[in-house]
Amino acid sequence: MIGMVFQHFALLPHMSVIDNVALGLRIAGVPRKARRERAANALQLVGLSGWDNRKPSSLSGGMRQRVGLARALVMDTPILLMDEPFSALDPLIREEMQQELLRLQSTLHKTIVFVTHDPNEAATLGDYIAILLKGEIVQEGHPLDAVLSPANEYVRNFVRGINVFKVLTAGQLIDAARPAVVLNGSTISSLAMVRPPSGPIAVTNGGGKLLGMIERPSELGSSQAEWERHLSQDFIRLTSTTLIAPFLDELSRNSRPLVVVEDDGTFVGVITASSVLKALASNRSVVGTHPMPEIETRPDQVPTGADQQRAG
Amino acid sequence: MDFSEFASSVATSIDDFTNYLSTNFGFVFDSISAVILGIQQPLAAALTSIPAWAVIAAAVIGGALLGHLSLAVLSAIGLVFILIMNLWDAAMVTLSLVLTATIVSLVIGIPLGTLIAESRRVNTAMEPILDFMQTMPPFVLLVPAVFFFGVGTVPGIVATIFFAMPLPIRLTAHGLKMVEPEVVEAGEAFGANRLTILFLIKLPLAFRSIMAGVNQCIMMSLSMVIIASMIGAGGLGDEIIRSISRLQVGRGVEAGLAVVVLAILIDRFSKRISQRVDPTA
Repeated sequence: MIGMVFQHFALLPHMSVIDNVALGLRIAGVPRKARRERAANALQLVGLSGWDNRKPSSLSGGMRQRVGLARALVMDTPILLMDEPFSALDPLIREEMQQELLRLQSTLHKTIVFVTHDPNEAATLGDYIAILLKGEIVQEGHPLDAVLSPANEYVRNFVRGINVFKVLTAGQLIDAARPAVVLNGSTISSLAMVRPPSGPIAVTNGGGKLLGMIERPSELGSSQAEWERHLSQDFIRLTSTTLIAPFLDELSRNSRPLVVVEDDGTFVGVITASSVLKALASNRSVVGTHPMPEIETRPDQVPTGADQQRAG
Repeated sequence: MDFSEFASSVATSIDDFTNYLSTNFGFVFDSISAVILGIQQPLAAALTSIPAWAVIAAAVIGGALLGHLSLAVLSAIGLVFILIMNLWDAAMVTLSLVLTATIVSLVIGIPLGTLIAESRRVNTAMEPILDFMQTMPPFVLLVPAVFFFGVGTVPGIVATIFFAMPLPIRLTAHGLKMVEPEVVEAGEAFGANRLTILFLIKLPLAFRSIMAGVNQCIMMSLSMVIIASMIGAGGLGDEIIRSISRLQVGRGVEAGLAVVVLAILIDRFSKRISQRVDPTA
């Protein structure tokens, strides 16, 4: 048995919302009281509590599909099959439902097979997408792969409409020219001193964990104590998988640096306006992961400009 | 070439067949008779023994309760008209005939329509039979009815059942076939079997179509029980036949109007009631 969500909702007009949600449980022979309870929980999950006794005909399209979603969720199956569930909704409601689904999935962690004709929807929702042509998979993988390296002309045309900011994540936009300074000695003798960057620079400890940002490294001396004093926590922390789109505004106003950090605090890199532009200008450059050059504060390993270019 | 001999031999062989049926399967017809009379006689007895004013009051209150003042007014005027025209008992007998024919038609027709919708084979088999039943002139139905059941109420009701049953069968099958496949698929995705899908999903969704069939069944029964008066079904039809034979135009029109009143009231009431209980509304 699988939970299934249909394009045209497939709700039963002669049953109330809660009975619709409880349909699968009723078929499975769950007693009335238990199935009502579980259905009420599922309705709450999709934000429709209080609508229990309405008929589907009195609900809007988006709400009807929420009922459809609740009906699939209530069975608590490991796999959900969604057959173009949002295609019949108007664009604004569709985006709202997509966000809703992402929110639900972040707590439910189901395997969701989602069929869609909308490449943007695929890019927004999919962790892993398969593009089918005449019943055969022509390309599969992360949505970004399809956008950046389409397998053939069909895929290229198909993904042309994808808004690239729906797939670009922070991890793909790291500015290779902004490595971190590692504090593991008593003095700072690094790139930061040789060629201080104009913008903020990240500071990590010997273990690669982010300590903070230095706003204006060029104004500081080489004393580690002085650097520690000026460490700032005023930055935006992102993980590699965070979509970049909501933070572009921050980037354009140049107010706070965007810093990519893994969940355990390991520094990944800094995102700058120039790195985003670079990624957009040449799609291929954002394919794959960028190994970040670590700048050691030992004098014999001061990186040169040539090193950075290689890394970039 | 002369086919007259062949034609008479067809008629003879049909006669032989019906003779065979009536001599060897008499018990079947007897039990059909018993069932029909078992429904009709108590109904007729009840309808004629209840005082007219009680029936009229019930119709008026019922019409008002169904939310239509016009229906209450219509009931009052129509039924009082029947009463003062001295046609009350005849109308109640007609009503009992109609209800009996309708009940039997629906008890057979709705399950049969369901079978037709569910099984391609039954569908193919029933299609020509239904066509035959629907195109057969109603008068012709009277002949075998008289042959197997004699003259009287029972053959009248049997002929009426044959005449009125095809539409509820067709409309039940139609309603079930028109149910969105996606909704059925939703049931299947939850592991429902055919019977569960039928009762939980398909039949409720086919309700309107089935009720249209019920309504049509009643109306066709009413028209047929009037014709069936020719073989002694009784009721308002008797009045009409009598007025034809005596050339009493006025009396015939009165009885005809009483039939119209019954038809309109039955139609409106059955429609309002089915709207009221419609699960898909």
